[in-house]
Amino acid sequence: MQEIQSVSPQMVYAVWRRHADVWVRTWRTNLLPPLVEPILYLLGFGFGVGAYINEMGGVSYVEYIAPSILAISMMFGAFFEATYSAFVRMYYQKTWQAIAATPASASDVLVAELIWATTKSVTNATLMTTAILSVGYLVNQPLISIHGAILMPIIAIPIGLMFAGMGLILTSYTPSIDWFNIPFFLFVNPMFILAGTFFPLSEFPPIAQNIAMCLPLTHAAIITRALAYGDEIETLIFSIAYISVMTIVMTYLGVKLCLQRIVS
Amino acid sequence: MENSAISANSLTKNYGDFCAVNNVSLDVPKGICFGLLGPNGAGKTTMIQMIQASSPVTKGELEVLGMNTVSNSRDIRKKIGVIPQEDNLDPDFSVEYNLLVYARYFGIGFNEAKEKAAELLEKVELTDKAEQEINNLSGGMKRRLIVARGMINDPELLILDEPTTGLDPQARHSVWDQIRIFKNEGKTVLLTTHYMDEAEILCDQLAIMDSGKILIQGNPRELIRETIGDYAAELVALSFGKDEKTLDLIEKKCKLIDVNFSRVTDRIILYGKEIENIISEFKNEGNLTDIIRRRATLEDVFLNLTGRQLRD
Repeated sequence: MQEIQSVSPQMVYAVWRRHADVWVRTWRTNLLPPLVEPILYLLGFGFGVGAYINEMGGVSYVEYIAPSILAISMMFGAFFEATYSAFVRMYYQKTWQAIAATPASASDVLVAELIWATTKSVTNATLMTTAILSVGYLVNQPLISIHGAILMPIIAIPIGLMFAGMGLILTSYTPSIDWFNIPFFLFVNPMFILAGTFFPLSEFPPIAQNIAMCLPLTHAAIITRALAYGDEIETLIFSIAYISVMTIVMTYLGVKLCLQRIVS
Repeated sequence: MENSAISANSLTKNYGDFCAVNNVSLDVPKGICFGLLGPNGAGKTTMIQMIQASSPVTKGELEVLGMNTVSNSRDIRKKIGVIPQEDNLDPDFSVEYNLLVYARYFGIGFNEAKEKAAELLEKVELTDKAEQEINNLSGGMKRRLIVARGMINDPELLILDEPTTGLDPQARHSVWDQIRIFKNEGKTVLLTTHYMDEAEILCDQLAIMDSGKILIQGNPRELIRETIGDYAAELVALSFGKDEKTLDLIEKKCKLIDVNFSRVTDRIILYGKEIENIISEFKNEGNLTDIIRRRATLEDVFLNLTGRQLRD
């Protein structure tokens, strides 16, 4: 039992490489969303809706949403991969089962899923940052600071891991692929709108603010915003602590609960 | 035991309250083809999952290639090849790349894997499909590729879970050939199947399981001889109705002189020494459509042991 659940870095890498190989083979379709999406948001909301808004949270509206869509893309990158995609690999393609017949263990497979989902957050963050910087260059308005741009892919690691862990928790439970719609509609989509992403939390009544402060995306957005504006790190202590604790708890539970589902 | 490929001692596996494998002891010597037969739900797949060290053992001991499945699961999986029941090839990769990715899990370097893949594709006659996408392959080709994949690590033990289900005769024979070639290299094969002819042809030894237990075990020909004898005869009454009376009469007679028989819809199948006596008594019975004398098969043994009722 003990050995069945051990983790070998070499095996985790082999499984991660498999996922990366699939990504590389379909790179054209994979590159498109993280490059096109931010441009759409910046154009439509930032410059379009933003034209009617003088400022939001002390900056122009387009500057307000640029770090938000980065945080959102980190969330979706990891969450989608650890739910829909992981479920396809587990249930439809039986990829996990195929790998479990090799020296790789079920735990290796799950840890590789977490790291792969996080990789998607990091690639999303990198591509989007590039796209946002390019748009900023074109309109001659730096939307995020250069040192913030460099730190975005790095901060995507803990944020991605946290959402990947949450995704695996759902995957450990889901009876079918359609069931994922429920947490997406009731949890992810509301967070997408309400986590201080498109307007500051200060617009909310105090009780709603407190609820919003419990949401993981709120803290992800607080951090990307601070990085984008080049703010002091000290103001982020609470958000960093929140994400650190959540990352540990969610990844641990995600792996543990999925193991219960697949190793019986 | 040194000469055992698989050695199970009082092996038990529970899923919650359900006992899938119940106190099974089994010894598979190296170098043979061993068949695990049984109706659906008999515990075959559970046995295989424990043997490939991917499902924990509830009670008892299990050694594969001399290693304990609990403490050496990785080392065991390094030396076995698994051919699963279902198609779990990677649809995103080409035929060859499927093998290369799989080789990586065994720590095989790229160049070595490339050579090995070419060799195996040749063996299963898929060389000209190497660059094809998986979705363009027929069921038989996929199966052959899965067999090739199971041998990428030069295993000492090959585990096949219903390897020929749903295949056309050509593909089936191709899989059989691979199994025979593998066995001829002195290595061990563990096989589950629902096809009794397949088991009879391929297996040196087999065990019939039902409800988590092994009912009998041994060489197929000897098992047939010991349990029901070498020959069987079928007394057929194709039209129902009054012919039923003839079958009733035969049944009564068989019970009277204690002949081993089994009654199936339109016929009675007889086994053992008394076959000819019964036949001569009833052969002039006008209501019998046909009398078929044949060799007793493993299917007869199987149905006699596990009954004819359908399983879920």
